[in-house]
Amino acid sequence: MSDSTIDSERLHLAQRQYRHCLLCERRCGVDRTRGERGFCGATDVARVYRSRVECGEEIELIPSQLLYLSGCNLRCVFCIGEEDAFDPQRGRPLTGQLLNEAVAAGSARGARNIQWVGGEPTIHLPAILEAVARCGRPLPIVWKSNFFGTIEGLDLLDGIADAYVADLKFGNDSCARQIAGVDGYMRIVTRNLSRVAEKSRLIVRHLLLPGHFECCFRPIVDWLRRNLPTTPLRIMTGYLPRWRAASRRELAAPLARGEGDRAIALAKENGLELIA
Amino acid sequence: MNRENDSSISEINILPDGRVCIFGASQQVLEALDAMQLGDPSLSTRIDALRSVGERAAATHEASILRNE
Repeated sequence: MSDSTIDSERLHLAQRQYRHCLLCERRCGVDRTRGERGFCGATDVARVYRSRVECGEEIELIPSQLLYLSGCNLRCVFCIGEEDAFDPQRGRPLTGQLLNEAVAAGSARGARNIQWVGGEPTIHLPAILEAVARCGRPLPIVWKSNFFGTIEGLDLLDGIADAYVADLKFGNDSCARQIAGVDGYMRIVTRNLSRVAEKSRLIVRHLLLPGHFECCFRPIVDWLRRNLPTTPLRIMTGYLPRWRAASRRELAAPLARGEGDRAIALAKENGLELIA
Repeated sequence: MNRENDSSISEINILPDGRVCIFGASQQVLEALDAMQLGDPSLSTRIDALRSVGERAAATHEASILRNE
């Protein structure tokens, strides 16, 4: 576990983000303390809509206590979290007490770490740091994110997160724009991946999307090979057409049988380290 | 809107061709699926990893108790 504590200056800097929010690369700059809402719709209250120990995550991290925060800065049409992920009003307010209870429950069931997931935890970074500061960091922290955050946000986490898990969802800007509603995706996400990989444990995940092998998966493999060749990659094959996936023909059905094996073969050909 | 905590629920989806997708799996769910011999070696690997972690944690706990005696 990182030895860094969360000092008052860091907490103060984080809270300032709520008054002029630049936590994610939508950079709306709204004052969340005054009820203004940006794209994600979140206020300065983070809410946990699910908290439990899970064993289906990356094998080096399990068992892990996952805290799911509602609200997200993307709108991936296939999101398995559906409205829970997008509606920031869902769930119980995150407090030090809630985190303490979650840690106690998780520890009793063997959890090795706390994972912050979403939705997207980045948009709630100040509240998370506040809760962690009150809780005393009893377990290592894993930050699972879409990596569409700002450098300002990443800096707030520096030395606090013990490991990062990045969902690299798309391999080009066009798919990201059409499926998740974001611009500049590749530049931002790859910038953040490179920055985090320099000084922290990083795992990259990719959920294989039906019909996006050539446009998304292959460019991802190529980028990793050229830029982060030793960063472990987890290829996920459990795509299901949830939420609004049916709005796009290619996303309306599960992944074709054999696509997972094809993806694994390509990653291995490119020398990437695959993890379960 | 507040929702009830659904922390005890694992979600298992079975595709028409027999593939199984699991979300929010506990160790017990993984062991139950492994016992069904679904032909997925990654299940056993994952369960072995969990048992190994459990044994290490138990050993650490035992050592801690011995130190405190």
